[in-house]
Amino acid sequence: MFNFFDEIKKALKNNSFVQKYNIVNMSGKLLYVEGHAGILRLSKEEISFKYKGGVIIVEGKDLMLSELMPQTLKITGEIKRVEAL
Amino acid sequence: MKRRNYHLFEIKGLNQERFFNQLCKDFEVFEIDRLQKNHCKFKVKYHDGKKVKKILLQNNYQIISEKKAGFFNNLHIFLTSYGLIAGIVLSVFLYCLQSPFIQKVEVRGVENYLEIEEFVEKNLPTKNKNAIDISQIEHMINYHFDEISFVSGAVIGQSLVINVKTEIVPPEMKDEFAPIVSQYDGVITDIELVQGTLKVEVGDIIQKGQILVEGYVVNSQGEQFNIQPKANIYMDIWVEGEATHFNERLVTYRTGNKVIQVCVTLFGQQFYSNGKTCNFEQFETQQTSQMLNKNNILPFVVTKTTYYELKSQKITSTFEQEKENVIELAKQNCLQKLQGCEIIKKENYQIIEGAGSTTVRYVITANLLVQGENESLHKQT
Repeated sequence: MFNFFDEIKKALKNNSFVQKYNIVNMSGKLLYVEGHAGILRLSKEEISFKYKGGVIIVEGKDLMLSELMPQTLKITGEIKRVEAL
Repeated sequence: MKRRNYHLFEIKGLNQERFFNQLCKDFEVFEIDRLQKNHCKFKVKYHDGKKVKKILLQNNYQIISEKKAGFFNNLHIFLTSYGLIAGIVLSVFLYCLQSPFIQKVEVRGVENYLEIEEFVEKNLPTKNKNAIDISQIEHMINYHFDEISFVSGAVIGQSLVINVKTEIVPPEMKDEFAPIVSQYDGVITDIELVQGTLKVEVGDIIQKGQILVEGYVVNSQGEQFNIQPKANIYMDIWVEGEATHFNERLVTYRTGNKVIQVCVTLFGQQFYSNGKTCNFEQFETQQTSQMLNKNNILPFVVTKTTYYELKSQKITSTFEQEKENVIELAKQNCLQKLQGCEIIKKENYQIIEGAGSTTVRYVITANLLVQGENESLHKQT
């Protein structure tokens, strides 16, 4: 099965830095996250989640959790900022 | 930032994303951990726990486990599990805090104890039990109140108890030269004068309150010397007693039915009541109040009110039917007025008829000894 992130990793010679998490922001309306380790905070304005080695904060408006799986999650809404701490 | 006060839920159910989106509108949701597709853990604020649980159950989610943590949870557990112990500890602490101090001054042995209590409370140098000098207080009371002959103080519990004895004045010191006065109306039959000045003679008709022997003597030079009057005076006295019979009278008596109301009050506010009410048409009450316990920490007062049912009955009888009883009653009333050591010389009675009533007047003539110095003297004082 085709996996977008796997294909990119194969194309890269040194792909060790892409092991922790992967995020795709689609037009600021949908955020796809791979490699999260649990949501820390959930609200309409801010969703923060853990990854292996830190915390990612997503800020926006009318944010909604449209899918939550053990490794991946999808956030919809008006995404304004994504910050990794 | 890691939260210390939280309510952790572990739930199972479908469409959890939608649930979380709904939940985060009203509550703060944090640390969501998706374990499997239909299985996750999440935390909410400690105080939101109950509401969130209700919503979870309404949405048919299966709650696998719950856990509460934080200061408020520990406080709740402490209060529910150790509330009694905490109360006792607090009571002991408060008791220890106030036990070294005098809370009450109690004066015993005199009628005007309020005045002495007020004086002691005003002049108490300190309320600390250990710092109070009892002997100083005793001296102070003795010095300030002339009528007091003996004072002793002691600290009992948190009360300063002061025992007081008033000055006892012997009768010869108090009314040494008071005259002998007759307590009855009568006729003098015999006189044995010991000392003093005689003011009556044998055969004199005496009224109640009349002086028999004065407390002085006059010598041949006309000088007057006060002296304690002493004499044995015999008198014939008349004592009257009355009893009235009514042809119609209303007698009220208890039926034996009663209602007992019990209420417990604390600082004047009702704390408990057994809720019984009195429905009797006629009743009389008896009320008793007492402290539930003897300490001053929680002054619960138990008030017991007993309502006795009464009934009235109209009794009709003629004087002739009750004549003997009425005469006997009049005689008893008459005898009550005698001291008990008199020699009864004559008895008679008189019947006085009125409108709807008949009165019996019983008269006893008795011979009485008036002994001067003590008996009569004390009576008049």
